[in-house]
Amino acid sequence: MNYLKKKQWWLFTVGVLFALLELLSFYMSKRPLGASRGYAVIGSIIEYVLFPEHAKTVAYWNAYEPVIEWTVAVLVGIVSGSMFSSVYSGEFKLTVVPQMWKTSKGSSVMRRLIWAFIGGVMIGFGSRLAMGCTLGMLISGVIQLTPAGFIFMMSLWMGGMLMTVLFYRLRTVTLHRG
Amino acid sequence: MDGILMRLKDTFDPSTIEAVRGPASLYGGLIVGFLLGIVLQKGRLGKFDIVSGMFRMQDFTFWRVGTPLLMFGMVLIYFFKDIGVVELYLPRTVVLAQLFGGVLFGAGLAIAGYCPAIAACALGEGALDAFVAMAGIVFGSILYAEMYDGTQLDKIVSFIDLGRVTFPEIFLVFNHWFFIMGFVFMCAMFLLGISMYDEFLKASFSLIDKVGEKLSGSKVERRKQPR
Repeated sequence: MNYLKKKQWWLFTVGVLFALLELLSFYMSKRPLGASRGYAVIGSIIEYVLFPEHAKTVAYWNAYEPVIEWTVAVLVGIVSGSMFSSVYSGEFKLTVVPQMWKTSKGSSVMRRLIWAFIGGVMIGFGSRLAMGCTLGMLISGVIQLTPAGFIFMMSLWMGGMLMTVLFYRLRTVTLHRG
Repeated sequence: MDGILMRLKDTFDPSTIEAVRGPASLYGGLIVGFLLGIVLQKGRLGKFDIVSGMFRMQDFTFWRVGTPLLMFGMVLIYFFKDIGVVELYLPRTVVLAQLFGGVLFGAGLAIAGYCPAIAACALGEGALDAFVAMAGIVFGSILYAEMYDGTQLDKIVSFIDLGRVTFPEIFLVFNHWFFIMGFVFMCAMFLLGISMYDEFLKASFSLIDKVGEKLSGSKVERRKQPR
């Protein structure tokens, strides 16, 4: 329990534990870890609850039935696990604007929220286009030696680097790290 | 209003909470997600500064976690597959979709600073902008579903569809352990280099903090580097 109180574990240990979790997910739940499918299922549920007639006509929701399932449970689990861990080690703190964003883009709250939403829309659209996110496509794809994971890894890095330079311009270098 | 509540009740299927094992069990997902949340938080991965610092080439925490993850994950999954405990669940390889989707995903990741799993972890840590990013991800998924329907998006992006394949099958290598051996060796060398460079960056940034403190005369707000 003393080990749980530490603010950070050795990064190599974190990686190995993450790999064991992936194995646990393969063994116990009979599917690779994945997070972005949960968001699609939540979207499907929202559309089914608010506009049931329209949701029936959308062909894409055939693969994402509006039922609370494993992936949504994983999301709930991640939030609760992270909250438990951060409260236990005394790291929990309500913040809105991150430190690095403040130095690059100013400390306006509204601006941060609007850009977070726009970035979120791009992430959601991109993850549905690529059929997975960093967890479900990159990690699960690479450890099963599929070309999909490697292609996604390289294109993610390209897009991220390009957008960082275009978006933060001269404030890309911030002279401090988190 | 009544209809909305009825439909909300519809979305929960009580039969899914009976078992721990199986692809649809809720308990299994909760257990895996809870452990994953702890691991992500203890690696300090759920922070905007770390995700954004990766793309700014200032912080290689993600690479230092990801490299042993890929190494050990690959060895473990293929070992347990060979002795018949687990099966592989391969994702479909569609080259153009993954290329464009990855670029769009990376661009969004650079702006929002949270990928889907990291956003949930950051929300647990108390970062409220992560919740807005999560709402954005849900909205993006709905947007894709609507666009997928009306337009010919699927035909455009599924131009090169390879199906569910792995590298050993594509290159007709008779034993996948050759690939794994090469990958693990490369990863070990890469991990050594990136860890040394990351420690060097950490030392130089703490030096910058100290010099700034001396020059300005006042105490600069310095974040602790817990070890």
